[in-house]
Amino acid sequence: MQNAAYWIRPAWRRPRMFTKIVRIVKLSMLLLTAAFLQVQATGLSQSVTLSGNNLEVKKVFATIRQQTGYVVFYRKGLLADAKPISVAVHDMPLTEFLDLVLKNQPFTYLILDRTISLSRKPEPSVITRPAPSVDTTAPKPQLFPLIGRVLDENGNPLIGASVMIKNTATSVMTRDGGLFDLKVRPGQTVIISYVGYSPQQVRLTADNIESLNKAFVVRLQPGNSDLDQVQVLAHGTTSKRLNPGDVTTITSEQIAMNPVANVMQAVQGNAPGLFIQQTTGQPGGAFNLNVRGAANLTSGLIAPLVIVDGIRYPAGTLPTNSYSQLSTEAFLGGGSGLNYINPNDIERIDILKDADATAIYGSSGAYGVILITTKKAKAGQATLDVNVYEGVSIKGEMPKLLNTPEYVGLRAEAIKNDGLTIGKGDLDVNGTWPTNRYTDWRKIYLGAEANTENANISYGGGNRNTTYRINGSYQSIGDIQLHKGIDVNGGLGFSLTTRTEDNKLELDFAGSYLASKNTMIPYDFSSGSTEDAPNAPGPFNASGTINWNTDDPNLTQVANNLYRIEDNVTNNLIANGTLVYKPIPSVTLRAIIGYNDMTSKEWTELPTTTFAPTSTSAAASTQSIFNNYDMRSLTAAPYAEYDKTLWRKNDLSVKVGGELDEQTTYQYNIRGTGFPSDALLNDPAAGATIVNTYSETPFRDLGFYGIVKDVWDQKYILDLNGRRDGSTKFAPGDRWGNFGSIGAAWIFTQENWVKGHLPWLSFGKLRGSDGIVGGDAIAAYQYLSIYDALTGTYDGKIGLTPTGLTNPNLKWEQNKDKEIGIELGFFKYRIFTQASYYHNVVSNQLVGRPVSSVTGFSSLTLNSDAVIRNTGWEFILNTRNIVSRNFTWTTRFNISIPANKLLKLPTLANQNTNFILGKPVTGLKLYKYAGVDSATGYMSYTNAKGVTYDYPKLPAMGQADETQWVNTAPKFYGGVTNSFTYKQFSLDVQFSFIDRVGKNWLAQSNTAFGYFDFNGSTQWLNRWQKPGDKTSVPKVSTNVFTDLLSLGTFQNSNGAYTSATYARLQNLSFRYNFSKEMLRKMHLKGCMLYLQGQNLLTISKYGGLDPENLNASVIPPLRTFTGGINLSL
Amino acid sequence: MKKIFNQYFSTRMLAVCALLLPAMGCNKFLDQPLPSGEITQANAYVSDNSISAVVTGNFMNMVNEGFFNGGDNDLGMYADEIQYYNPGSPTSVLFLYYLNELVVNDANFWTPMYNQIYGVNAALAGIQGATATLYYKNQWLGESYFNRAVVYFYLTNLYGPVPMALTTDYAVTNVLSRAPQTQVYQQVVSDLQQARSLLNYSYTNAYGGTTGDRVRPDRYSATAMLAKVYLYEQQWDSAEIMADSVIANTSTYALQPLSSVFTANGKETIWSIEIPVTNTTAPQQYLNYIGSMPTPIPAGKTPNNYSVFCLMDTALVNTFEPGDGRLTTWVHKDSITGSPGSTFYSPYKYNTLSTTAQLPIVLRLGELYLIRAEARAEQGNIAGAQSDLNAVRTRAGLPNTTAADQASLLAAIMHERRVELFTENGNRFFDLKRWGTIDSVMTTYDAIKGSGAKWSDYKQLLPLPSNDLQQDANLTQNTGYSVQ
Repeated sequence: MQNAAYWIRPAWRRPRMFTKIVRIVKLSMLLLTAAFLQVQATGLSQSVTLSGNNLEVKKVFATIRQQTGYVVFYRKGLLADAKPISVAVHDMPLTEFLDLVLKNQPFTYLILDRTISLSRKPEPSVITRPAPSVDTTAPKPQLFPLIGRVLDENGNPLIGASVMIKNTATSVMTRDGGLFDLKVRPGQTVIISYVGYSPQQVRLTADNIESLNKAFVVRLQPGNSDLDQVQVLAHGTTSKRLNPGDVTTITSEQIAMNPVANVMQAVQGNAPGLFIQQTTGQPGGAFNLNVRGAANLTSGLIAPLVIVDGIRYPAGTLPTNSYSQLSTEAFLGGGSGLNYINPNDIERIDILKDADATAIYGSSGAYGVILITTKKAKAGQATLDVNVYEGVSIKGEMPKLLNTPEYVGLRAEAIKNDGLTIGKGDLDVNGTWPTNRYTDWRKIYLGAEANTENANISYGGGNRNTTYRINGSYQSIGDIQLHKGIDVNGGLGFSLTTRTEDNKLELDFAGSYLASKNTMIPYDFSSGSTEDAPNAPGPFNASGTINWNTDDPNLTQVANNLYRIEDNVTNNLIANGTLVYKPIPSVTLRAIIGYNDMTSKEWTELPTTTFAPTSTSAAASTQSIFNNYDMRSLTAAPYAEYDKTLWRKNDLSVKVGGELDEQTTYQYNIRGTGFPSDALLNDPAAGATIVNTYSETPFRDLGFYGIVKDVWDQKYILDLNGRRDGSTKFAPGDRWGNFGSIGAAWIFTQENWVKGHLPWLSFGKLRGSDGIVGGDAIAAYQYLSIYDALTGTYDGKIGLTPTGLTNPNLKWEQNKDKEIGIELGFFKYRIFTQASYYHNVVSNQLVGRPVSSVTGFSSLTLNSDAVIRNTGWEFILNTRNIVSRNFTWTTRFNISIPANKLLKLPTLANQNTNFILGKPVTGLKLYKYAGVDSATGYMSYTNAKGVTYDYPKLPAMGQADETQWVNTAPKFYGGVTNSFTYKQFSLDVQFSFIDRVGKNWLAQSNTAFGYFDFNGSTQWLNRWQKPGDKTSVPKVSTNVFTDLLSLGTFQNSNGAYTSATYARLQNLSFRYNFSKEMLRKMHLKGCMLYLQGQNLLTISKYGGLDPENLNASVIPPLRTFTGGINLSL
Repeated sequence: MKKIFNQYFSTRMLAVCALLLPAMGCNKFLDQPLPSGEITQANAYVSDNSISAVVTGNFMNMVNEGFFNGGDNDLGMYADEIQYYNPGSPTSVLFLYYLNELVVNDANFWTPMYNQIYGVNAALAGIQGATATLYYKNQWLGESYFNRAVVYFYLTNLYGPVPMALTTDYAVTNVLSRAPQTQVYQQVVSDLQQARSLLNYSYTNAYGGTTGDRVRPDRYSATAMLAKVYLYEQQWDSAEIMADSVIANTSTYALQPLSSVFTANGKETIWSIEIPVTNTTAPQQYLNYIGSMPTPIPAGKTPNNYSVFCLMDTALVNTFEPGDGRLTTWVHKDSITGSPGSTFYSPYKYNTLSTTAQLPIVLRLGELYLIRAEARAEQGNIAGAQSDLNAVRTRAGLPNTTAADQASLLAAIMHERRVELFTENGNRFFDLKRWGTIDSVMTTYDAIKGSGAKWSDYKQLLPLPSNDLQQDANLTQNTGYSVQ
């Protein structure tokens, strides 16, 4: 620990440090690259090549020993009735080879630590089951004690590995030294498994139990971590190997590489089919999430359901303060509930995509499901784990602004273009403001280096009956904006698992609490900061206070936000308990109860200091807003599971259960205006005028389901899901809907004909699913006519008002989802690849159909007869390019290619003029932009008649002139990660990429360039200057009016959209793991030092704008550099 | 197979299912409560109290959005009362002033006004269908008819022929075509006549009791509104009679000194509206023009420094006769010395941040005098018209009118309306249209505006929102506007 303290203290706060770090990282990369080239793959072969007819068994074993070094042991005389072997294999893995050659022999094998021991196969007659009801007197087979040890591939003990007896409730965890003990019967099979390792099965016979007890050592080999990792599904887990559905898993190791505040940033680019867009770089901001283009005709892309530890979680926007210019909601894009879970506390994220995986969530799962599992107790020696990192964030990608000479030159040109002369009011060019003065206003407003700190500490361990884990976290995130705000949060959590000695009863409890305090002022300076002239005196005095008498009119209204006061305290409680009861070995009864409570108290204050001191109405305009919300979610999910191996080869599992959700959102808002003193602003109720609003929104959901899963001989998998859902969104008669899915998979590499002929094919699975999922993504009670209480009073009376048009005939939406996929592993999983194709058709979609406002409202909710189809391809390619003792290089690549098509136009009304039959619903119809006229410098457009006009002469454009069509949805997106390890060093380099279009900088400019005191992007340097100039930037002009009109038309034309395709170095993580020797000297279990960077480099042609959030007036995603240490002791 | 089934499913699994069964009859669980603050329609028409809340809600909607939410400012800018002021102005201001276009949202008035009509139609059906004993049914019905008449009056004056939605059934209202303006006026008159017969002779509050507040209409409010409607319909005799009956009630109504004309619930007020404390803290008429601007404006500053984007039109300022008290009392003047030196005028009828000291007036006695003056002049009653005109002039501190024949008297009334009713509820814009002078006035005004402003005759009517034209094939756009 003493030593470690030295490592914790890199001087991150010193600004130059991180350029140094970047240099170090670059250098290290160079060195590593050089190292790659020198290292060759080596390794001991564990495969066998042999061909011959009628070979003697002994000779075959000799060959095995020769080629693999594995020794074969057997009892004397065992080989007496062995049959001769005919075989022709090339480079076949040892176990497969043994399976093949011993298939028809009267004995079976067990591999233990480089030793293959043979034993006689049990006689079929011995295991004939006595009928229990009749013959109760039959003696039960004797119980033998079994003591063993589980080791990893290097011979280190594995603590916490699971050892279970197949088809029974008996299971234990390995303790210190990897030891375990069990009581077993002959004929039983023991399964030994550990995350990241291939599970091993050992069949126990009367013969081998005795010998095993002398030295039962199981050495687990690293599995194909992709295939054998656990996948969390609705109410249960499986491995990817045996899953017929489409689930993508993100592990805590992947998350740990990303120094981020919202875990979705770490998932970005790693999960095919899940599109993630960060809407603002501001800490606490919102993320747009979408699974496979799930879209609604009227409300656009729909976010997936997010479940944290079994509880429905508020992952969408939060009911933050939304009052006009003081709105936190607008600033953060509504925020995100996931900001209140520390990413370091997350064990895994499973993204459920197809009907087979999601059907069980019924209506709520129609748009995809994201399951988040937090870190839980694990058995083993008590371990303290500490992870600390610290770093800085700076502003990301933004277009460059004009400097003073450029600005002054262009302003003068604008005045000249309009035939005007520089006037008294043109302070920036008439000499009033010095033309040699230059201020980068953006640097002043957005140039801060925000400190980020994160510390996690956990302590856990336990024995076979009880395991525990406690953890604490601290996180502090600074602001790049000009004020003193900071976002600090701290969390505590515990997890406890205990079970009775007979394993019949198990109790799991887990809880976490996070408290966050955010004092960042909810005002985005990124658009305001671009507006001031670079030679403007600015709104500040030398002391940094606001100079209200400046002759610079623009910025006092921006700068005054510095004096606002903000205090947002959010607390998040997640608690869940699971009760498991196994009355008989094959039946499990489980009840899961989860509770989530997120509360926020936010004070937003506008003191007199935000107004000019001369303003007579300053005191009367002071405001204080208190916004309080409380979102509670309770989930109860009892279910029963029947799990049995039938006819020896058939694993059958049947689940029946129900799920009940209750969510309530409370919001209370007090807005006071006109305070006698700024000191009273902390009490919004002390204002001269007070407006109170209160809301309580309940939500209930109820569903019942049944799941049948059958795995035949680890080869054929069939999965049936059925669900009956009730929803309050429909009238009583239409409330219940039945949904279901079927999923099937065939692991064809388990077939002998594949095993024998395609030895290079390690794994092959074909899978498919088909199902119907309901949807009810509309507000509740639309089938009833509702009156709403209005805010405020009129002549002392509260008013009531009807809320909308009523449609009593609403029905469930139908989502028909189909998918087929193939998963292939080659050359002992050196290459693993996966391809999926999905075909989702949405019909009967619940939409707000636009109606004429003469009806009183703008839309009517109904089941649209439009049909939308989402199809797409998703590919994963993971390769282990180089694997050797000291050096490994692996690559993980994924890409999603979504497509959307409107198969049937809504007939009831022209829903949206942008809809075209056969085209994506995400498209826009636009005017045809004809570029900047090289003769006049004006933007020009081509109308429906094909005639091109300069803007000033352009006749009024109508719908018919929208001849162009642009699809705004991404064409493809994905990511590629290269991981390198060299001895104790490892390096991960992750790129993410998206191909799409976005509104370009010109279309996003608030104003065209040319007016007094408004700066612009350096792209204005390419403006049209004289007849004959060919450029895409129009001439500069001081004519506000014409420019505004022109820009308005431009924004509705295809000229406003350009490619926002980008590739981004999303994450770079460089780690150093201490060697075992060093750890031993330091008396540590583990120690890792790391440097990480987030959003380091963006390659795009999007004109300097950030191609992810696509918004020029919002802080782009930040660039973050951190360094840290992870210690285990 | 059967054996296994029997063994495991029939006995044990059924037992498990039995455990779950109590949860299966959970239909009741799905009857979740409504969100707070919401009630079903059935609960909205059960008593005088709840019906009063619905009727009050309709007044609140009328005030919160649509014509009475900044319509006077918009139309002042559209016509020749308010001047765009600064490059920093919002885009909508620029378009409104220069091009007479409601660019930002062409549904600014139309959409919220039809929403208000829906509310009134629902209330009328609900009250008439209510089964409970109602003690103030006439008041609720009368107020609702009045409300609907006011909305349709402004709607038809803004858009010309408009669809007559008299039901809440969207199957009917979503396919309506535009009714001729005469039919709209017929409905307005019929609603106001109904209101006149149903409402009390004195102001009543939301509980049916008498009150000093003048924010809910009484029988005189309906009568005054009728006078205005008849004037617009050029039914001079009816307009005169209606105006007569209001002016004659001298115990309730009397011309007030200039400084207290807009005082809340004063004797000048026939019907004012109240701003529910939700979005604004003062009458919009104050916030639009003066807002947080200090008096005087410090040197080197302009109104734009205080987010004031429009000022009173110079031509309007110049049209006041010398000695007109309204120019000193109802207009705010701010002179700035230094560079650039200038004088700014702003409407100042509403001059306080207080929400209760002044209430936005829709119908006031001064206007009734001018209505009667015009109706009398049109009928050749010179002396009567002069007397009404002089009543208004005397209050403004001006001598009696010198106009003695019908033509000059009408011209004098037109002038008087301009300086008396400036920036009040679009009176100027509607008057220019009524008198047929709008084209000449606005064409002349184009030259003052500059920057390519060009008035066209078709702009007398506003464009229908493009969305509605798409959704309802029976609707047609006003001439001159592109069919989007």
